[in-house]
This record gives sequence, structure tokens and C-alpha cells, in this order.
Amino acid sequence: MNVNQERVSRVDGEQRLTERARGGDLSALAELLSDNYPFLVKYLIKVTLHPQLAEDIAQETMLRALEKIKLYNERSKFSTWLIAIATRIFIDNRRRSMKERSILEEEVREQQAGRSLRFRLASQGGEWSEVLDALGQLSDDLRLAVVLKHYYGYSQKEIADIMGIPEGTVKSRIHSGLQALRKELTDHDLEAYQESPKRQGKSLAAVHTYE
Amino acid sequence: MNEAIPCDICEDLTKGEPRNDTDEELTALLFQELSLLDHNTTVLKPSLFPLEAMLREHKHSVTRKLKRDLVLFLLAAMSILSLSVALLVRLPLLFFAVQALSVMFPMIFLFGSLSKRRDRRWTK
Repeated sequence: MNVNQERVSRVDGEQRLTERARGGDLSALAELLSDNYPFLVKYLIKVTLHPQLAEDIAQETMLRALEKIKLYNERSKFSTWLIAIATRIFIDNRRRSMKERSILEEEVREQQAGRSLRFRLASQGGEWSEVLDALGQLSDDLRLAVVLKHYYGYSQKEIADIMGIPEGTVKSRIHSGLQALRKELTDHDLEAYQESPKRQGKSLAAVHTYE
Repeated sequence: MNEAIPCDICEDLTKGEPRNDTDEELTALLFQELSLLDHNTTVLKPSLFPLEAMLREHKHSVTRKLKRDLVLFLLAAMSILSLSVALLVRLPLLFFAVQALSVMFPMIFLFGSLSKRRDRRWTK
């Protein structure tokens, strides 16, 4: 079986599972959610930069998916639908916690989250970079828009649907996000960073794993 | 949408949206770093059996909550209607009868659910 055939059979399998799940089959839904769980958690880690929070939101997303599975219209991929639910939960949680906690407490929590991800990354043999640091400095709204656009490749309209905001706002958030990132990593640093042999070796390794 | 795809494909997806060179450098670097983060993060798939059990449990609790909310809504509606009917037809007896029913019904419902819970605990 070649790569294309494998992909087609995977899509067919997912479609069949989705239909069964929409009909109320819990084992089909469990299979779908289990298959998409790593993708969902990895997305949430990039957006929250907090592994524990990412797992909590992923679990809440699975329960919310169970409640809303009948509303899933198969216009987008199942993983995209899950991302949309997770994003809304993240935004809601963030608003609630901002109301409950003071700004200082929130900053301390963010620092702890950053440390936890750094430790996790280091323990897996990875390295925390300045780019991730700069990404962590962005506000959640800007980071969400930038990651969805420049890592997952969603269109502005898709991002608007996922975040529940107008397309124009998405455009301005992506622009402001990139501007803020550029400000953090000055042109000089950016070039030096890209040219460093250690980085180049790592980027090749990363590309190989996704080929 | 693309799952951790190389940058050249990423650029195809953003056709028609103007970007300058610095932007492209920055987004390529961002993509590269996020790919590394993705690569260095291990997330295991949850086991199917406990996941299905969790979903079943949640579905059960959601259904129970829905039933309770529905009963409360109907009782509130009945009380309001009884009050309006009693005021309209000037029948105090009817008013008291419906009020008594709307007090007794939740008590019976609560007592029933409590005794069911107690039975379940004993059988465990």
C-alpha cells in the first residue's frame, strides 16, 4: 500500500467512525478521540506553553466533544473541529482566571508554566529557544492567531471560525503578533540565530522526522 | 490545514496574502522551532477502555442533569400557571392543590434518587 492509498483509507476510516459516533456509538467516539488526542495536546502545548494546562483542556475538550458530536457537520476535519472546541475552552478559561486572579499571580503562574515546559523539553533532549521565549511573551490572542496561521497553515477565514472573531481581527492579530515577535528578535539576532550550526543541524533533524 | 508540514507547503497555503522577506524568514524560523517543540514532546494515546468508560459516565451525568433541569423548569412553569389560573378564575382551592403538587413532586423525586443512590452504595 503506498502513501496515498494509506491516506485515503485513513480518511475513509475516520469518516466511518465519525458517522458511527454521530449516531451515538461511544466506542467509535472514544476511538476517534484517542486517535486525535496527541495532535490536540501538542496543539494546546504550543498555544498555552503549559503542558499540564494543555492536558486539562484536552480532557475538557473530549467531554465537550461528546456533548456536541451531533452538531459536527463534517465540513472540516475532525481534528480541526476539536481544535475549535479546545480554543474556545482555552479562551474562556483564560478570561475566567484573569477575573479571579490578580495580574501578579497570573505572571507567576506563567513563569512556572514556562519553567515546566523548559524542563520537559530538556528532559526529552530538546532545547528552549529564543523564538519560543518570544512567542511566550505574546498575549494569548496574538499567539493563538500566529500559531494557527504560521504553523498549522489555516486560512484567515478558518482561524476566524475557530476563534469566533471577525476575519479582519484575525488579520490584525497575525500582523501584530509577527510585529511583536520581530521586535523581540531583532534582525541581527534573527540572522545569527538562523546561521548557527547547532540550529541548522537541529532543523534538519526536525524536517527529516516529518518527511 | 496541515499537520507539521515543511515551510514550502506552508507558503502555498498562504497564497494571495502579501508577506515581505523578513516576515518569511521569521515565519520559517517560527515554524522550525515549533516543529522542534512538537518533535520533542511525547504524548501517548489514551487507552480506549478507560476513555470509553469516562465518556459513558459523563453522558450519564449529563442526561441526569438534563432531566433534573427539565423537572425544575416544568415545576416553575406549573407554579406560575397555577397562580395565573387561580387569579383568573378565582379558585383558591385549585391554586393550593397545584402548589401542593409542585412541592410534593420534587420531594418524591429527591427521595427516589436518594434511596436509589443508597441502594447502589449497599449493593457495592
